[in-house]
Amino acid sequence: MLVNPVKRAYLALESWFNISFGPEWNPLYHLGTLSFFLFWVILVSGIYLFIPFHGSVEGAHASVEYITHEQWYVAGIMRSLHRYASDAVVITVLLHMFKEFASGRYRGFRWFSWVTGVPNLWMVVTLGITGYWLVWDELAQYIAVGSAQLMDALPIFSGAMTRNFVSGGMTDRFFILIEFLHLLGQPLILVFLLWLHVKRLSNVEINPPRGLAMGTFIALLALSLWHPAVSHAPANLDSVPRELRIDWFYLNVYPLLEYWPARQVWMLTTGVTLLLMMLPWLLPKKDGPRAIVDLDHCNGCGICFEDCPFDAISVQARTDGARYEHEVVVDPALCGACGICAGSCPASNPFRTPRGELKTGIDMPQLPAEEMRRLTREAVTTISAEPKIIVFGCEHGLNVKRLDRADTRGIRLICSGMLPPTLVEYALKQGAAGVMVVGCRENDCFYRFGNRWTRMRFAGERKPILRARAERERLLMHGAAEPDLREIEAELEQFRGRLRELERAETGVAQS
Amino acid sequence: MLTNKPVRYLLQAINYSVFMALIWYFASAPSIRIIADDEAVITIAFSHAGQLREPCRQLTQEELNELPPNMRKLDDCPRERSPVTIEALLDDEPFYSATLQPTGLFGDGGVNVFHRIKISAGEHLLSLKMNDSVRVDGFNHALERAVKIDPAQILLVGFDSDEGFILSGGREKQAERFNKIPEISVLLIPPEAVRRVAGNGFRAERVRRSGPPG
Repeated sequence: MLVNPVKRAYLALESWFNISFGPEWNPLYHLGTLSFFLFWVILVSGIYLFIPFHGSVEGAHASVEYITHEQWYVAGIMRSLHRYASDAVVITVLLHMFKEFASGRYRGFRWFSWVTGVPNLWMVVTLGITGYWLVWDELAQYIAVGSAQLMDALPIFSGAMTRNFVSGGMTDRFFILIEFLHLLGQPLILVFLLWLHVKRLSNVEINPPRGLAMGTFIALLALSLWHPAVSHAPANLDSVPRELRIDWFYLNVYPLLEYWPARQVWMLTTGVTLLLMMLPWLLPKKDGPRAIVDLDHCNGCGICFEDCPFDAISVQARTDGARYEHEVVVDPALCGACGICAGSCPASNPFRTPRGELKTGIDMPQLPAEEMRRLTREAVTTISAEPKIIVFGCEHGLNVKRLDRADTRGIRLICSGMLPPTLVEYALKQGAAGVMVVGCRENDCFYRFGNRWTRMRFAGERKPILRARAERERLLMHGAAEPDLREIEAELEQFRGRLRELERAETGVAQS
Repeated sequence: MLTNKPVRYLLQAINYSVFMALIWYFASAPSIRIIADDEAVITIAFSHAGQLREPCRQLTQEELNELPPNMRKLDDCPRERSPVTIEALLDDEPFYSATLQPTGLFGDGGVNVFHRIKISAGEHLLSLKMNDSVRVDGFNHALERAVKIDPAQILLVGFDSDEGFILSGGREKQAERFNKIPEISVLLIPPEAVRRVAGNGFRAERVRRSGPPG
């Protein structure tokens, strides 16, 4: 399989960053928000640079030289920040793509975010290209001629573009067009594409943790001071630049034009783009059955609507004549089949129908609330040693079945977020000494918010809360991926020790 | 996760350094060589509309009478234009040869010519031929000229319907250098003077120009 080595590589990188940054600041968990932050740096520095910049064929290079050398202490640093933050965006966007691919978050119901994400990369690259063009140095000349060659290979231009970049062909009007594209046209298209990219997500975050943002900014500033961005010699359309220091993050396609006709370059870039966009169907994975609403048990409270990470649930006017004002409706096209809604439904409380079948307002056909309750009851009764521990785990993190021992039973859920907090109470009531919940690695939930919502529910910060009478010391939550088995076993061993101490203390109190 | 803060920050600093080193290096390296030290470039770049495939026909009085008064024009000119055939030779070696079809849905648009070639700098004999009319056999425009081009310079070949092929490079500076080349011969060939001959397939009268060549 192709994905497994890729996933292993990603998990190794993730582990390294977890060691040095911790899960809160791990850049791999914030690649999207980090890209947004870099856009802010680019925007602010770009606005500043626009003030002294002279947008004309004759004035552009001189004004950039002024920015770089005369006012190096502000404008020069701004220019370097503008360039290096732009380069950093390409890295974060590529890493973002790699991460989503490696962790399988590009197919199934996520196809829309993946497909709309790929053009974002091209938009970023073309934005960078027009930025380099504005300097109007030898590199800009090289880009201009190369871009014109590429444009001319398209049927709409049919050879008319390139003649703009022969001696005397470049005019201020054309320069202003590029300026307009870079300053307004392309950023607006990018904002639209970004909006499209996150359209199927709820609770979208655009700011990285402050510590990560500060660290990134300080690093960019240090690089800007140590190695300021500079230009090549002014563009001269009467001669060919001999050697160029090109920015490979943005201009990697242009050297191909020295070897291939423009049409072949188009075929390569279009082919790679289409291949990337088609990955959800080339390496497909079927999602599980979607969530189903049972109106007989739904009062339209809307907690599942608040918790759904993919905006698949809406609250609408009641249609079944029941006395409630609202009902919830699941859009199967958007549903990720994660089960977080089932965990959030107050009707998933296993104590509701002690003898009859447990029916809840919104449920997963592949693992209904009744089945979760049955598995829990069965697990507690089949454990033969003390202290009895039930480990709830998710399908995308560590396989908790690997933790099965005489005193421990693992139950796999779709996502840790589908665990109703009352099921923890239920397990303890049934005779478990402790409950451990193992979700995906912290801040890296496959379904975005499973870990976070569960932790908040346990802490009483999000409905449905774990009731106060549930003994918190008998509950342990931890994030883990497949390679983290040893770490989890060590945690589990400590947990066993704590539970034994609790048992001893309680036995002592009872005897005295 | 490390609990020792100084070690953690040190590791973070290392990570940021690697990130910035990656940016620093690939933002400007490795550099690419566009042209060798002793090379120059010839660029053929112009837009030109081929001549009409069919000549204009004068309408007869009867035909004019049938037309509404506001649409009566003496000539009926078909829109379709001829393809443009170009051949370019450097020191008698062909380096560009193309037949470009007229653009537009009705084949009535011009053609855009663009071709670049790297050559060794120095003196060369440049020959350019073009046919822009299906009604003429062989080439009806041509230019042959000894050119001298410096390393990294671009010699630009343009075309104007009235003036024929135009060479320029380095604007005035380059034009001055051309002026210093002795014995520059320019071919100005009216269509009727062009005729096919055996051998090289092309022959024309050589015209000497007095004064600085264009």
